Amino acid sequence: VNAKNGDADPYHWNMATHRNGDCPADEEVAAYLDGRLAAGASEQLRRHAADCDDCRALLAGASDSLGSYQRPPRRPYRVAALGGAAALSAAALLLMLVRPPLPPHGEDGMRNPAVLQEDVQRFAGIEPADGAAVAAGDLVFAWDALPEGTVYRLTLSDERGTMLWSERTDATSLRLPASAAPLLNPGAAYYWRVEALLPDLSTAVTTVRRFETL
Amino acid sequence: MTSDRPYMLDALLHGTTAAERDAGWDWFVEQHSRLLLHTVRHAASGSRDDAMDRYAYVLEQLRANECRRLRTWADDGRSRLSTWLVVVARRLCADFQRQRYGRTRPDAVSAAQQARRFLADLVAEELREDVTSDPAEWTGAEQSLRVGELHERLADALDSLDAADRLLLALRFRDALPAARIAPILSLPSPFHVYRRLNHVLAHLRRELESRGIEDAVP
Repeated sequence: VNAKNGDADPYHWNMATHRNGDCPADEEVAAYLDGRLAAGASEQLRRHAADCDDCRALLAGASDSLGSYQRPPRRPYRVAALGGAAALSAAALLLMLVRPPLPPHGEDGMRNPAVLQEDVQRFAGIEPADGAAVAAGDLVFAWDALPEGTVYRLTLSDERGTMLWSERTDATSLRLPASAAPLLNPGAAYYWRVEALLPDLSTAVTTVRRFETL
Repeated sequence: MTSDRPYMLDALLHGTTAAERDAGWDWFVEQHSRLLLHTVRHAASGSRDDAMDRYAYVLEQLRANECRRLRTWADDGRSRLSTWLVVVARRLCADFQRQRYGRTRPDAVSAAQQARRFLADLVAEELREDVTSDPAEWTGAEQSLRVGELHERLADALDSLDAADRLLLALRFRDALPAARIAPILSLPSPFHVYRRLNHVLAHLRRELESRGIEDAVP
């Protein structure tokens, strides 16, 4: 029996259910997948999912994504060879060469932000220069080139963090279109960053850069 | 605010200045872009351009309304952030898909009713040979009568199952998922346990049908 066979689907199941108010919240689905949902709520979620195409697809998809995701390896802390440093005490060497203890990780295994930079591939934003003052009509964003085949996405936000404009490109520069220029007020600060998806599916980001409008 | 939550996440959700919140968002994206990209790529078989569009949509929605969704997760506190992010990204990808390509809804019969009917239909295929005579030997009118009867009794029998077993049947027969994918959804330790549970449920349904008068060729 192949339920995916649309020809053999007398009840149009391939288009059947739709998310509605009865569907469990994302928090409940996540707690269920983590095995942290109370027994009664789990029973309710399962009963609902048995009849809801969308929720089963969500459960199956999320479960697959979690199962196939490999967390990036953590870099081991390197300890330099002692070599001829016998004169120094082991304690002093450790103080010098080993990173200080990190604060406890969060419940999600997230690390102390102080060491975040290690796993993040960076590339540089070039234009407009950080802190530069530019006219909205003349705004051109440029950044360092990464290997051919990389896809970039530039995001422009205001001071409150509201995204004003975002564009995807294969190029290493973008001009703010005339249609977006009116979104920028004179004399205000704005922020931009570029994210990149490389051909090997790794990612890279620029730092958030700031400019002011004239 | 919990003390074991990374302080940059607190900066994102509770920062008092825009710069603080921006730094928190920057940190959040750096921390989770790999997981989110993995999820959006996994959610669709489209091109990398398509994946980037979905990724941008997911980030946009996560940041919308001052990170309303993230606040909901933080207030809830039952799931790991990574699990929750995958669920949300999956949900948003489905929304993105609907916005871009639309979706047709059936009408008249409710989704739940359709689910039961379809599930009965699928399970009936599995059980028919066991609980009835050879359908090929039936006349047209007899066939309709017997199949209708079988579906009706089977729908009743399905309602007697507990939620986990009904979900198991739906995943297996409606969605045609392999046992290896079903196991983690039902917290079963291995595909072997899925098959064992499936056999148990089908045996239960056979007994239920027999007890409801469907035995051999005579319903």
